[in-house]
Amino acid sequence: MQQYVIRRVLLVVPVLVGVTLLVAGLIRIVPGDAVLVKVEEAGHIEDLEGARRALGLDRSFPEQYLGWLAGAVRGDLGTSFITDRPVTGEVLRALPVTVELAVLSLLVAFVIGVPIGMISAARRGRWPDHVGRLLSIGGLSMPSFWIGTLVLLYFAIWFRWIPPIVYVPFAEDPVRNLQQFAVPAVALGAHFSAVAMRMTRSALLEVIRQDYIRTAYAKGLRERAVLVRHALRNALVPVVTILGVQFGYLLGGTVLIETIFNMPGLGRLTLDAITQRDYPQLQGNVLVVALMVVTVTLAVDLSYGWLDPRIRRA
Amino acid sequence: MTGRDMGMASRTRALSIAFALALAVTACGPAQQAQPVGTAPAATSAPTAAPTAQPQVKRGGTATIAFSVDPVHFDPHKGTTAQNFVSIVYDGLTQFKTGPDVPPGTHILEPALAEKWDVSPDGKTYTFALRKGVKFHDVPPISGREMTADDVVFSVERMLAKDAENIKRDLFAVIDKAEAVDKYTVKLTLSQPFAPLLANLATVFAAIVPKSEVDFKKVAVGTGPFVLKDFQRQSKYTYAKSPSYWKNGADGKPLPYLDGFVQVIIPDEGARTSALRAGQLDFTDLLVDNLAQQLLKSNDQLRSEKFPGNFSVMTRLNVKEKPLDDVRVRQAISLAIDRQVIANALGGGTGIVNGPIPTALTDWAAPVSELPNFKQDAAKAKQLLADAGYKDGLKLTAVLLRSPQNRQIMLEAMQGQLKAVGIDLQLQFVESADLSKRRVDRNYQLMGDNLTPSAEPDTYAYIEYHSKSAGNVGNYSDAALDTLLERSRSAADPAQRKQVFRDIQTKLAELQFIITTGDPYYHSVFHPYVKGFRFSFVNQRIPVKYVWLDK
Amino acid sequence: MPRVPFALVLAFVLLAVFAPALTLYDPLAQDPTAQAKPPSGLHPLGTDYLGRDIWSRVVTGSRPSLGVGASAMAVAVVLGSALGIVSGYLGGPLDLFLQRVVDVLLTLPGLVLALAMLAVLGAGFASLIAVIGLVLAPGIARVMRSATLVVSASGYIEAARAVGARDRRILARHVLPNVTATILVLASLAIGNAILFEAALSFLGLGVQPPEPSWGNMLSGPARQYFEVAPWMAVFPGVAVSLAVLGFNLLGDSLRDIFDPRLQGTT
Repeated sequence: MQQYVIRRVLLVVPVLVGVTLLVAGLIRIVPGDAVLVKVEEAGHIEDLEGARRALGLDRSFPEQYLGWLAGAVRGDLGTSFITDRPVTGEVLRALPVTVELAVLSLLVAFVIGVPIGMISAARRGRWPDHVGRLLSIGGLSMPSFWIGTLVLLYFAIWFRWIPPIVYVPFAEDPVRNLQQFAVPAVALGAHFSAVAMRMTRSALLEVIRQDYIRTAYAKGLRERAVLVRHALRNALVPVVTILGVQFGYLLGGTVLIETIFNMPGLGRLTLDAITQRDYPQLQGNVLVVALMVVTVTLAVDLSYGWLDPRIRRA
Repeated sequence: MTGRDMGMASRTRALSIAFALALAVTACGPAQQAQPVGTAPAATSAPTAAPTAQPQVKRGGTATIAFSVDPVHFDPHKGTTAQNFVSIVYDGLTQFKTGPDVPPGTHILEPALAEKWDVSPDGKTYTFALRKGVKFHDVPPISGREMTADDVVFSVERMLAKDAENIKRDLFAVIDKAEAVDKYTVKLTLSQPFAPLLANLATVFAAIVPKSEVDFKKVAVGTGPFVLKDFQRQSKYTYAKSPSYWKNGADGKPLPYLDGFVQVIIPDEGARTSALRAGQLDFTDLLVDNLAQQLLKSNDQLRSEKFPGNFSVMTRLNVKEKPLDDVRVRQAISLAIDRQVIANALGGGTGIVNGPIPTALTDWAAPVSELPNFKQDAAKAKQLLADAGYKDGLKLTAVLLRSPQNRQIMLEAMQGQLKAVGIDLQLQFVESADLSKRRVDRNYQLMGDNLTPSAEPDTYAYIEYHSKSAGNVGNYSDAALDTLLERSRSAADPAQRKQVFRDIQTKLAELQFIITTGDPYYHSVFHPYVKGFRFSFVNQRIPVKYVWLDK
Repeated sequence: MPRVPFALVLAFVLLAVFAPALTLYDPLAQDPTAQAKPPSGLHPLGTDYLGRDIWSRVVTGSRPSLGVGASAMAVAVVLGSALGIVSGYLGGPLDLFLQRVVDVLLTLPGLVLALAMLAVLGAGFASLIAVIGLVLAPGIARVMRSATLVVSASGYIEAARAVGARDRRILARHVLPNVTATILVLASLAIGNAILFEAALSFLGLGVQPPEPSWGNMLSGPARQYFEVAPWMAVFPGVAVSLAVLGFNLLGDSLRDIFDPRLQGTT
């Protein structure tokens, strides 16, 4: 087990390098000149070469990437092309927003989805099952950007109320902060709650019919005990996996919600970096997100061992 | 024109300037005799006294307003993203009169940091007498010291700096030299007479910064009515009133009336509207007509002011390559489209059709009905195409950004209208970084774009079309046009200048290098307790220094 | 119960297949006299900002939405399942390597990928399908891997190996049938996600290019300005997406229950 953990941790590095290299390469394929974005209009071409040099864009791609990587290893993610501020600062500013959003959304998803999934599995074929499935699948089917826009619009029209439009960190004012995050978290969480519900239900159904469950029933255990103690644990493997995957998607997929609800998170920062061809900012953002995702992935993989001893790796 | 919203900021900015200049310059005349200015020159209509029948101003309180674009940095002389921010924190030598007593659309040039100015008879030397006792903000290392001629000279030199980011250099390029004659007098020497100068000096790009080694991108210190207290990028900017502002309010005490002011960054228009509805914003501006009408209908407490837009959505044509190098093809396109339909679609309701100089510049714009090739005539369009050799139709591609969406509206409408005369127009959406590059490389046939908004007709004329102008990104050139454009800059007599611009517009309508379409109306919408607010396209999108809250 | 989702999906498939016959007007035809009009006898779902009939555009928009959705799902499922099953079954260094590839794909911002794909392949369905497929595949791979791990760890596989069966046989006879249910669930989720993703990409302007309608691009751009005054412009395309995705998701759910032999006869 120890060896496995160490190996996995070491393997984080090639993943990080792989993804940042890929991103750095891909964004340079996309047409558009970072210098021109900065200069906005092109009336003064004679100055562009100087500007290009200042941004380091006159060097070759390997030089640019390796130079960036060398800095990243030391903790220096470079300077944003557009704002001239350190990338790290911008990322640290935006990170808490997105992480909070992702965590709250998952919480909503879990809290809503797993119990509904359990009920659906236990009462399979009967009306609680159908209602549960319909509700959660309904939530899954609606585009979150559509729901978000409509909620904001109609809350404002009908109730003259919208979530606070300006971001306030949790530490500063928890109430206002949660007020702002509540609606977006539910919008995102409702979507994923259906996923959680589906996986819980289907996994539970798979497990329920296994022999050891029938043995448990034969032994006289009550249904709830059987479900929770035996079935759920095994069923949780795919559920946890998929929630881990969702976290990854969430981290990368908050951009639309952040735009609509005006949250200054990583999603928006990355979108701006992409449209403005702010290479250092983009690479920095991707590095940080990648780091978080591989950490979560590792945690998920390690949890398999705890949840299902049969797949513990030596 | 970075990223998404091309900077409603820069457009409105320019819009204001456009307006102001329109009237101001006609009023006081370009490069003219010394007008010892202590009062608004040649201002006839605007009453300078306190407005009648207005309640006593109340001081105190904090107002909140939303902007759609984050300023990115604080330097007024680099780029255009900082515009709105700059107008709150900085002042210029001149400004346009704004405030509750100035009816919308009236713009008069008035002194700001310069108390008065003299212009030499040959129009090439401007001498400014600076206001005494103006203090910079109490921000280290400047720490509230007085503004002097050295600061002005330093600022002018920054405006002229040959730096890739100084994209508004053309507004001032005609200045050869700036000298401090004494502590409170500055002399500007121009290479040639230049009518637009005073109006250009009233723009935010001519902000006066203190002479210092400070990095103005990171530190904001000016002479403006508010001081930047705190900011969270992409989120909100908080200002406190400056304790030592040089201008007094209606009650005789220094402006501003507000204690503070918060600027929130909300890129999404729907979110801004919702925030206003929910009372999280005190006012918001540049709501397009149909949105504003809806907002007002559903909430009868809100008040609004309506203005014609001045962003002039247009289609740029690449005249260096076939088939658009043939003027007949360009004219055919112009004749095939229905500009009123486009203008209406832009904002819902009824929009305004624009000629080469936007109609909102009421003093300079020629009536569209008098311009050739502006009245829809499909038969003539087909004939011209046939003459040019495209009897069987023509395929063209237009590139455009997704945002701002007015370009999509314009080109989609044009697409339908052009089909009727046999032109198959394909739309290609690109990113803004891509578009900038294509504009430079001239890698396009048609491009959805905006004219650079301005109060000065010069920006729509010389800067855009003169063959030697650095701002002529389309590489347009026509000898007869060039002559007219040069004359527009040097014409001394305002009536003469106006006539020259008429001729320019007629010529442009014949050449159709750029197909202008229209603009919708816009509204500023605010809660009823917001007083003293008078939207102005000029200089300060929101003249916050005059705002007070009746609550 | 499966009848409802079947019907819904069938309805949408028929809509997409027979779209040209079901429109009332040319989806691109502009009518300046009828800009942003509410639903009426002439235009059952109203018109948009250029006077185009919304019903016709929603109907026509079903083609790119469903076509891209289905194709992208196929790409994602095939790619993802292959990756996941091989990884989970063979284990060892191959597993480690493939999972790192999956990690890389998972963290890559879909937007960057979309932009790059567009640049390389040009705007069009090929690049859309490639992007969506690549974005959805890693998620599928990871779940398939974990499902395969569970199966591998159970008695059947060891028993089969002990008997001397070859890998290919084991995969076909023991692994696949046991993970089929999972694949079905994932596929139905995937097509729903693919349709949603296409809508999101079109919403951002990276998908189907206007004026060709797609449900996503009808919800974006100029339409957003009109949402308040003309809510029908916002509601109907969104409802179309939701119903279509709902249908597929419900169908997948029901299909899974039907096809999984192990669940037959359960209480």
